[in-house]
Amino acid sequence: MTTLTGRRPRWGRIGLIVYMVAAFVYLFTPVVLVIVFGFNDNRGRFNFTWVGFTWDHWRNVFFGETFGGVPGVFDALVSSLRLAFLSSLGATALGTFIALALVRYRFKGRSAANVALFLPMATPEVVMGSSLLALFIALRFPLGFPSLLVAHILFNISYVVVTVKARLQGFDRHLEEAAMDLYANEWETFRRVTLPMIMPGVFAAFLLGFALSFDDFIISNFVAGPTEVTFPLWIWGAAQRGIPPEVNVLGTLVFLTTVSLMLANILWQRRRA
Amino acid sequence: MRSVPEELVTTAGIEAVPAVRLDHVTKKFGDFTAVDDISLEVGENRFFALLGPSGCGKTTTLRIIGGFEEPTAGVVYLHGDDVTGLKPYRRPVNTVFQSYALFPHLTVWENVAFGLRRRRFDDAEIRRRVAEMLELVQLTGRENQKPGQLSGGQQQRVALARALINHPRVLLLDEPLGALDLKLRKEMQIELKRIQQEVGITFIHVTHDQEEAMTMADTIAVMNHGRIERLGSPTEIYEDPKTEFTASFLGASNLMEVQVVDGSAGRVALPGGDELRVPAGRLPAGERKAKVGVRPEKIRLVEPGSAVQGNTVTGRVVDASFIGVSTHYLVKTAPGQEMAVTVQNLEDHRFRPGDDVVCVWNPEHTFVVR
Repeated sequence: MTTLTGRRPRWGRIGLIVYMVAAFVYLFTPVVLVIVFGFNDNRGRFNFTWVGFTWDHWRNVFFGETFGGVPGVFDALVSSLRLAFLSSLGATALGTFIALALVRYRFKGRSAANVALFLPMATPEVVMGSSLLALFIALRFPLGFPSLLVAHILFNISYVVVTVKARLQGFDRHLEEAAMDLYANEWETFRRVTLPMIMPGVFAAFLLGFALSFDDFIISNFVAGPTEVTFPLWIWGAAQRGIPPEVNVLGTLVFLTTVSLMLANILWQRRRA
Repeated sequence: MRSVPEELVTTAGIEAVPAVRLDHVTKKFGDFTAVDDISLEVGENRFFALLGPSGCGKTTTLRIIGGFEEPTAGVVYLHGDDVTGLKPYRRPVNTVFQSYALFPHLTVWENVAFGLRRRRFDDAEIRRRVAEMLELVQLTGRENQKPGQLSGGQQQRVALARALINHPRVLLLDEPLGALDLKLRKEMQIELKRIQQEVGITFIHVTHDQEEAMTMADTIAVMNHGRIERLGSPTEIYEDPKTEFTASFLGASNLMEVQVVDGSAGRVALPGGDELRVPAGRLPAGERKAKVGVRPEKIRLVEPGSAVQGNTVTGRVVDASFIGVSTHYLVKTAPGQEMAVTVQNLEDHRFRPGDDVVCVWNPEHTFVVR
């Protein structure tokens, strides 16, 4: 890097830049296309060729059927957001305490629990989805939002545990002892010291769970039942009849939301540091 | 102000009750015995040091008093009350941790106020006491900084303020000065001692630094392998360490194997035949052999043939190093036997390697070790 003369390092540098640009183009072309085609004034059921610019699809998404737009898009989005929020919240709450137990205490079955927590991540989603459906039917568990919630919490927990555990690994246990020394009982110690300190990890776990849940198609497809339609399920259904540009609009919205959340998180962490 | 929890109220007229009492306390971690059947009393308003090398059980002993470890056996009393099994937040003691353990997400002010807030003091009272405490440790003006923005010495003082503000009846200090550089450490030693005298609280101080222990503490317990080797005032344990471990842990000493000639009169003989005197009563009764010692700075060097009184051993200087405040000599007294001698530079005359000398010391300064 610091070589002053010679052609080879310079060529290496140019090659590196070209490679980097190519990689980014490769990564972002689909994203850019999704955004651009949300503004396409398409003809017919498909949205593959550029015709002209329009705001129509954006209007449709926000004002729905009143504008004669595509039915059910907005409901599907709300359903997915609700599911992602609640399932990630549930998984974060459970997963944080599981992570605390696994890092803190030595108990029988600890390593077995560690392995068991990895299983949902390793299991193919098709297998998990179909066996969950079989389980729900056998238990006569109502299919729909409740079954979706249970399934999503289940597969989110593993990711939460892994994320929070990483944060706990470097945690100075003397901090908790100091809190207890200063008259904080177990709950106050958790509330005032442990939780604030692992909060970045917990928050990251929540975001990860939210994204995973929002994204999930395979398991949801199995356990959603006949009436509950999440956003990915709606797209799947719509795509079988043609791909309306409203999908692109929603995709753009999701993308923008995620990116701004990530930026907000980075800024927040920087301010804390 | 809301009332202080009952166990924190100082009761008058209980001076006879020790602040801390350990009764046959043992702590095992698996097969390892960290604390081995320790019994100990620390009086009110004492500055007590637990001194020993790492792994000797001093920190575990402190943690047992603080409630962070439960003893495997034995009972812990604080001011006469059995507190064994009580959680740390139910004990009228506070701790200054080795790593300080300041809450990094809270400001200096919030760190110091933490204990009072948990005990639900009213806001005006908390504000008053935090301001007072920050002044005591000279951190006024730093209220809104985070611990990460402070120097090591300042963090140390926050840790101290955070503990002292609760008016504990016993303050536990786990190597609180270990992370500071030498100059700051010396300053904080004096500072801690001043604060202890000012607030009149029992301090129990864990350290591996014998000089630190002797500077600050009025009573020292020297620990080794989970047991107390020697307990007493700094002068007592330095002048008469009683065990070989204590003698060597508290500075340098010259140890010699001797034959007991007359135990009750305190007469012993070196292998070469030279006779030494030992204060009567220090020799264990009925023993034929003993090990005696003398500190290097208690010995004077004189030329052979000088008229002297006291214990004498002849030898030849093999090494002399001028240190400034003193000169260190190494004197060969017998085959395989050397004595270290520290002489203050009061006279211009210094011995050189090869000189024949006589080591002289007051028999009172001879101690006997096990």
